[in-house]
Amino acid sequence: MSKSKIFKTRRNLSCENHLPHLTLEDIMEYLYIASKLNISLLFLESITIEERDQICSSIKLKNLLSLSARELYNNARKDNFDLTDLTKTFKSYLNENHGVIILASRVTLRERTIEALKKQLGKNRRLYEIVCIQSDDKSILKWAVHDRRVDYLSMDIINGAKIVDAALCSLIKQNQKCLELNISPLFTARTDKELVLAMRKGKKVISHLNSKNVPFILTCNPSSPLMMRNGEQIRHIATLLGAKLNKTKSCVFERQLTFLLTNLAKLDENFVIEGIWLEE
Amino acid sequence: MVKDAVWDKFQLLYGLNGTTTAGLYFEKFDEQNKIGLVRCSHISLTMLLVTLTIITKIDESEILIYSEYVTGTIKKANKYLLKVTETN
Repeated sequence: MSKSKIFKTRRNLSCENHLPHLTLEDIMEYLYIASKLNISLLFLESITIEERDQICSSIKLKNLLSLSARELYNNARKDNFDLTDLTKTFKSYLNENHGVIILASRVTLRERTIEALKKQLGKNRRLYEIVCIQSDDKSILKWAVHDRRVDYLSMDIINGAKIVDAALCSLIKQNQKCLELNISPLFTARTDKELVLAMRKGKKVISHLNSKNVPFILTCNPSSPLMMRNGEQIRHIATLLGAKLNKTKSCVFERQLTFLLTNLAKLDENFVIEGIWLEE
Repeated sequence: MVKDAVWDKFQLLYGLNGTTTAGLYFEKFDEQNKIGLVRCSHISLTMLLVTLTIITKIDESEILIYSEYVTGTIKKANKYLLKVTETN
């Protein structure tokens, strides 16, 4: 009896957490590369929820379907608003439909004072699904960690070495926030010296995060479509910085999905406060 | 060109000792379908994947190299290669 030869390739779900601000034509190129790399979730910088929905309806690529995160959430949500069930629904949908890419919207706020940041948070919280703060000032980051409107603190591995310390790590962990680590300096290093510097600084940051068990996510922040990397590749690159391969499993999709679904629930019209919903 | 870039990057990251231990051997490369076959020791698989990921340019042209399929035998890898080239 002849056995059918099937090549079983394990396709882990992955996402790209920080795409730059793009036009419609650029998004098509990124979507093509994302489909090749099996990246299922893309976060578009500085594109509001409404703009993202328009983009999704206008994108028509052969064998590729892009969905807005809100559309899939509305379809998946039934009477049960349980986060675990929603996560399972999203994952099983993506595993069954290989050509689907989900688009989500995010914004990175960079302000010099806490007052300016408060104003921007008030304006932008309901316009974007994910809100990140990026700053070189530790006092701003320590304030931002306490604010429930903030999702991630964003930094690259070179600046992060100056900013990340034990106190900040403890605060991030206590307030259930996440640190977004941009590893693009490893790719954009023009000389060996720059690469060595990036690796050394990155190791310092990762050692702080590992010592306090701080949740973090990794992103390539690609400036061009060919700079994108899927989750497996990012996890392998993180081993250069001292992160253990099995400990970065949730850094490339799980945590991003959890934050996204939590915020989609909060942005829902029927949401009142955590645990309380309006009956339709 | 791709082979030289991978060799150079591997040596830069892991040194001569690491490159020797890895036992890299470039079995074949299909220019038309842009797919190839690289052999390495099972211990250095992660190192090879890191090297392939970190390469962004060859001769000033942007490039993206990713691992399509990982297997323990060259026979299976050749079958996969044949299947991919036939479907293309």
